[in-house]
Amino acid sequence: MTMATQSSGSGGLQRGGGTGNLYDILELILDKGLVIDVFVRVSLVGIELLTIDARIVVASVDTYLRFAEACNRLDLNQASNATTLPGLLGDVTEKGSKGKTKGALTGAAETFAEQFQSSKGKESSEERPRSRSRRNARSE
Amino acid sequence: MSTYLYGIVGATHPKNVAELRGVGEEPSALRTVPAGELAAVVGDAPDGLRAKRRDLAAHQHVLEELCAQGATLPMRFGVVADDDESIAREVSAEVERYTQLLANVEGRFEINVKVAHEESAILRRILMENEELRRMNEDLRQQDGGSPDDRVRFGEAVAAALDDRGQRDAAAVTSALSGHAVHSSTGPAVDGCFVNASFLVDQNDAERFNAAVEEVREAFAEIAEVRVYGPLPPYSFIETAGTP
Repeated sequence: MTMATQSSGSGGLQRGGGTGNLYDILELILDKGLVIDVFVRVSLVGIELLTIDARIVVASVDTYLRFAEACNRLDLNQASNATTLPGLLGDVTEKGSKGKTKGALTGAAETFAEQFQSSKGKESSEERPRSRSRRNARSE
Repeated sequence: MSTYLYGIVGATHPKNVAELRGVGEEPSALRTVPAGELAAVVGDAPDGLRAKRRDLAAHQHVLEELCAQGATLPMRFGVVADDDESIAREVSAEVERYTQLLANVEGRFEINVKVAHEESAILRRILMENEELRRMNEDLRQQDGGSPDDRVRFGEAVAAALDDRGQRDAAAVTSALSGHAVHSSTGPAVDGCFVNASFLVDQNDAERFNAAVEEVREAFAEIAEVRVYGPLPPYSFIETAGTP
């Protein structure tokens, strides 16, 4: 079976394309994929800064202070549905461990292509503001 | 002129590459280099190639097109050989291994899933669930924020609770999705994400996998954002031979 003979139900699956989400899969393009040892790789100077920047900030005093300040500002009385989550999480784990989801959701699945589009659109608008708000929080 | 390597394909791949354009400011047409029963998809490597956004996008685009045509082993960005002959030689030397790897990704694609906690939502949740942390937070408030040392100590306890929560949530997410994938692969830590994982999904399982993603999305809606990327070339699954 080749990808060209995919079932009609997944007709949109081979289309993704575009570069809107490139930043979010950079580590796959740069760190995964096949290499052949005897061949050279082009210099990643510059781009490496980008990926290091994207990687998790290790625990630091800065991070701790930021968490402390963020907690200090929280209004705990706003939390309305706090008790529902553990149940939901348990539900997910249980279904996952059985490895099967039947019935209820099969009709509801949107295509990957649609999902792909929506996640792409969302990302471009959300990424930057979030990193900005981090910096703000730190400098406050 | 050196040769830029995009991917390796099998005998049955249609290899419609003439219309594809690859890396570089004025990208050359792509071509195939036969190597035993396999073929490498290559192009001229431009002088001074670096990992610019344009070139990363071109690399990705070529591989998406090749994967849409048939099973393809995607190269990592930036692999350059002296010439076509050396590619033919090196790929021919590994035909058996590459053939196995191609069989492993046939009719399958990579889906990358990243999940990030919404910071204020997850901090609120952690405080709600942890009386000790709630008390520490109240104490600091009473003292107008407390001393820097106290704030660091509290923040560290919050970070530990967050980390613990992240690990548990990650296990729940991975477990919910991996049942619908052929393989899974944990990616490097990415800023703010407690899950960065790729799944090799058979196209026949795509709808079930998608439904599982939606369940995860709903379950975490209040505290986390689930980002799904794909279908992607199987970058993370070129070392996983054979195992079911």
